[in-house]
Amino acid sequence: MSGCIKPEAANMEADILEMTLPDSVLISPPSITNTTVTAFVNFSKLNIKAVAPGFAVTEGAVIQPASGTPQDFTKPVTYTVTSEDGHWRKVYRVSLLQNVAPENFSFENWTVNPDGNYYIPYELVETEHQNIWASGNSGFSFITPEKQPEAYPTQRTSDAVQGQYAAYLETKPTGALGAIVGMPIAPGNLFLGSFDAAKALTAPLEATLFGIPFNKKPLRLTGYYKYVSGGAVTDKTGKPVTPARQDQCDIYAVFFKASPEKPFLNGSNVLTDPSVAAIAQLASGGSTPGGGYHAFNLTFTYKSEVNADDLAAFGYKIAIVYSSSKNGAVFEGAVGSKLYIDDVKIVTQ
Amino acid sequence: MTLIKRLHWLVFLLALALETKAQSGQKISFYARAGTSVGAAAPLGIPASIRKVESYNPGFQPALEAGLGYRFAPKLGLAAALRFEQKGMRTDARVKGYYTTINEAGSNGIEAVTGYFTGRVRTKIRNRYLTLPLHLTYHSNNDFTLKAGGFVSLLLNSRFTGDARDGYIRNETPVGERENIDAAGYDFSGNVRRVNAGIEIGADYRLSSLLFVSANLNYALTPLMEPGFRSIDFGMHNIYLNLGIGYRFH
Repeated sequence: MSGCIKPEAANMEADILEMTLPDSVLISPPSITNTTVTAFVNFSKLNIKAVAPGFAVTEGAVIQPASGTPQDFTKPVTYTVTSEDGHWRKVYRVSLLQNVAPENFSFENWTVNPDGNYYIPYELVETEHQNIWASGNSGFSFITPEKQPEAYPTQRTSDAVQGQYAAYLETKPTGALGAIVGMPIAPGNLFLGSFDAAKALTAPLEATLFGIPFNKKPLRLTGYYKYVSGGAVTDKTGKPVTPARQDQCDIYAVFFKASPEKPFLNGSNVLTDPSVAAIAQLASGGSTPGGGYHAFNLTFTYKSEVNADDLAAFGYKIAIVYSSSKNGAVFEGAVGSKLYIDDVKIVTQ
Repeated sequence: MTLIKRLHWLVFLLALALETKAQSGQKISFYARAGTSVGAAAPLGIPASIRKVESYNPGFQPALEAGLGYRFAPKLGLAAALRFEQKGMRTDARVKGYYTTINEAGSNGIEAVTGYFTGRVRTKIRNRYLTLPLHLTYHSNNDFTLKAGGFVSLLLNSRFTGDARDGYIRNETPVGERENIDAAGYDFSGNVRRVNAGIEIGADYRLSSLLFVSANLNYALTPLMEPGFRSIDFGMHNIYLNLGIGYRFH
């Protein structure tokens, strides 16, 4: 039968596989999703109006503007990748972030991701659009037929403490397909970092990449939240856990020393990795009384000294993580658990 | 299995009804035949998305047939039969950019991911049909009888399942979100067309006055899957070679 096999067709895919910049310029490895590339750069070491990143793309694909040509990255630059067979193209938004991430998060700015039609918040720092928040929504978009932004576990709400919007996280069922792959629920989650959607089904704990560069020593994490527990926790087969317990939310921040070998933490090691310098975590994530928001004020507990030189050189990263189900990463939780978050601040030294 | 019992019963009745006629003249003859098929539900030419067929297993595909022949000229005749048959196979192929749907068992088509898969695809097909073949027969002076004609099959039950593994799927288009897949099943059993019809040629070789061996090659002109089925983007047609042994009642 192999005699009938046709010659291999030209590639149909059009991916940016890698973005390269001189090492001294990059603060952290670029994070690449299906339609975005984001990297923190050291603005003192480049002219942001003429940066020439190199790109590796799918074999045979063509990128425009061409790899290695200088572009003005004052704003995100649009690149178009055309597949080898010429039939498919994908538009990427490439951002080089030259400002330090903010310390205040008000969840006022939201954009709809074109791939899955879901909301994701972004930050504005001196008019710079920073895509530093990520969620598991892209995994959810894959596994469920829902296509409305309001159907996703992570979205926005107008029930806010200040301003127009707050973040809203709800644990959702994933339907028959999700149950088959042992992921019957999808917790609402929102975190500083990026989501590697390709791993959502095969290695979900590794799909959540936590951390953005941070050059100040955090002392406290403050903000407002309210939580409505969805009730009894079910496991990844959809059955109640024993002993029975009520679902809880989770709010925490992790400050860690990044390394070239381990630039990010993920769902399997975010609280336990030796690189973790400090953790601030909500002690108890049960339902909040009444219908209103409650303030939280969490102290970073340090496990190791912070090296001032490394700190100044963006050697540390911070991750803030919210989840509507505390063990949602391993698909334990209760459908209908709802977490509202607004007006979060990192208080630094 | 009740079906096979019913078929036995049918063969018996046919034999009873025809034996008297067959005895009165030599124009009508009656036979029963059993065989096994080797073949595939295959596209016309393997699509470029299939890079390598790692394995192919024809399995055991039985066929049972009861038929009658009518000789209207010294060397020419017509033959018709009722055949219970199973057509199936198992394949394991490496694919690249293979358009497919991964759905949950017994899909209603809603809980599904459709897109371009690169990796390995295993396919298990086992469809059972009740077939009516109709042949023009040519009876040579030697021991051969040549047959050519067509067939119409009614689907009795179907299985078309498999899995996509060790690869990734791109959601909806080749530039859609990429999702790695360890192993995910699909089930298109409900999408197999109820009626399958096509052409058939064959030959019988007489071993004795009662026994003969036969070979039939049949090719379905109607696609295997029902109209509107888009989860695999190439048409598949049944093509099977059936080898069997028969007993002729005179």
